[in-house]
Amino acid sequence: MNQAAPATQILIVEDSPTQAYNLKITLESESFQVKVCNSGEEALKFLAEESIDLILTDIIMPGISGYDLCRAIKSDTRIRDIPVILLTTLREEQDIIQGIECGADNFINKPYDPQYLLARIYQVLNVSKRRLSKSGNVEVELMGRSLSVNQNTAQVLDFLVSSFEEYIRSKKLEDLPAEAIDSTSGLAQKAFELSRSQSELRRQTLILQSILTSMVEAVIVADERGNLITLNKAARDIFCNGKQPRSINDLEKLYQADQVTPLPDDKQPYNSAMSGETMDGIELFLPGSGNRLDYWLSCNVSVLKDELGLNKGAVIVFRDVTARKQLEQQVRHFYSMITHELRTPLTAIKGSLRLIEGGLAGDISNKAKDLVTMAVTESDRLIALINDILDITKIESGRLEINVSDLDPTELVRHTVNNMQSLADSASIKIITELNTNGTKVVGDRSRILQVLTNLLGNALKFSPTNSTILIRTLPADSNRLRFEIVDQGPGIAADKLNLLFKPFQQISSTSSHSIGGTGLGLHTCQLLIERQGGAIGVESEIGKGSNFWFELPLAII
Amino acid sequence: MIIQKILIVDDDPNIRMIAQTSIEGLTDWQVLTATTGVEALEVVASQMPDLILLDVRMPEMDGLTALKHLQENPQTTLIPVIFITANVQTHEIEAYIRSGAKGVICKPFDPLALPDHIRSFVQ
Repeated sequence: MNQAAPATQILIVEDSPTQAYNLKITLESESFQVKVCNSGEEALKFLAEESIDLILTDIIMPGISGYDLCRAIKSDTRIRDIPVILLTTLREEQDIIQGIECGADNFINKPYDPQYLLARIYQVLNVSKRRLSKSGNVEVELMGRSLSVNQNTAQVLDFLVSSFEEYIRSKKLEDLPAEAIDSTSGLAQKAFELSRSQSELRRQTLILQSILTSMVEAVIVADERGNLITLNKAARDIFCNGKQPRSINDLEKLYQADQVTPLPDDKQPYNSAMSGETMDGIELFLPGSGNRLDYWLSCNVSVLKDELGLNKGAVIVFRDVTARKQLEQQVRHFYSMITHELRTPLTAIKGSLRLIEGGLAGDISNKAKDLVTMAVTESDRLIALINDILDITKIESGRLEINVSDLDPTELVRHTVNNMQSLADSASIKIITELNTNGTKVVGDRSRILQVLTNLLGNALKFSPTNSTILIRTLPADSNRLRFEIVDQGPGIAADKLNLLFKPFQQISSTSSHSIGGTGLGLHTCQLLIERQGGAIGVESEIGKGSNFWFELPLAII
Repeated sequence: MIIQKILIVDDDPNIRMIAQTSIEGLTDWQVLTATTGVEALEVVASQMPDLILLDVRMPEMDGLTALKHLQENPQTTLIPVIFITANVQTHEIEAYIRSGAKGVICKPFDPLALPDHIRSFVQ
């Protein structure tokens, strides 16, 4: 229905932005050029300077009403020929009288069907072209009242015809069969829904914008040519650095986790997304520049597809993980500090004590020898504590190195027993083994399994009475695991203490009040090490019946 | 191999004293000492020890650099080097062995077992 010349200019006077917008969209769809004024005053100012072909005005507005606006237009010789359509709910006779009196050319009831509105506009535009600007007093009777109207006769006629038409339309609706009413009201309903969905769309857009602004994650959206569509506030804070980027290529390139190697171009987030790759939270480095500090960014990407499934751009989301990265660096620094600053003096302390104990610093009294031996034992305990703390720090920060291979369980146990035989002999404790593994192997880190076996056997030796026996045996736990057991004849552990054993600093003395040397971290470390290797660890014990500490490791696949 | 002269290199005087006391008390090896990598290279050039006990972290020149210099010099390339270090992580120890060291002794070490520990790497 594109009947209008493209240059036809329509002015909308409407205080509700939503209604004005809907109207504008409807008119622009017909190639009208549309201007909007939010009040009658603004419209008059506008009309003084610009030329317009048609005016659509609301009636009830703050400031001057639609009637007053129309009256002002029709009394101004320069603009009086511009047709004015009132957008109203003309129902009462007073409305019709005011409509005639103010000189309006036509009126349209709200809510209106867009097609009907357009038809009315074309009609008014056509009529106004051929209408003669002839005025004079007209006497009319309405609802028993006599009116003298000093207006253009043709205008009054048009206005009354349009009100009559509205009447017939409403009447027709009443008389129409139900299905026709359904279809007409369906159309109106559709128009209403369209208007609703437009405002819903705007509402959703506003919500989305608010979400993007308040997000701590940086969000960047670029089209298939790399033009930036969206950069939320967090993204601007990180990437803009005082500049106004327009393309994805204007953004600074990211570096790999080593902080010195730039990520290859095809692996940069936008290019990864466009080639259909994911980044799964990969952590990248953005070096400081200008006023901006270093950033560590965890990156996720996804591709924007249109309804045909074609790549239309990419969404890139960055999470700022700088604080965590810096904390990790501090932990590493702490680790390094412990390694060097504690090990070095301990080397001197323990070394000196051992030299004295071994007689290399000359003869000392027996009493002095006892004291030195005690000091050596305690410095060993301190060293073990440091090693345990280091292990736990490493395991918990995910930095423990585990080098797994297929291992012979018999060799692991024999190696441990050999290393501790002299300790057992000096305490008059017998160690026996039952190792029926039939050539099966376990999977694990040799040095870490030896560390666990040494710890468990050391505990058993510490708590075993003189002339008792410790049994080390291996047996199948199930079809996938081998179980190692270290069974002692010590005092046993109360049931309510068993669950505390593997927690840090929970060393318990089961029967006596004397303290038995240890760090309180040994079993906790064992648990972390075994679990890190895919195994399990536990204990069975009863007061007076000794303890059975066990752990299980996965069997190697032959 | 027969050890007659051993060079102990460590910037910490306490560690040097403990290692020296241990070796002099438990063996008949002659002990030479140096406090940095640079000084170690000078002592090696003038005294030609049979074996070097070399700290890793030292000012001026660290142990790994000193070892590299020794390896590049045909006259010193065959002298066995054992690192003595507080860097005890598996990957560090493996890196020292790859660099050409005969062995690695971790701090804190037992001075009464030190000579046997050294022998175990070179025999």
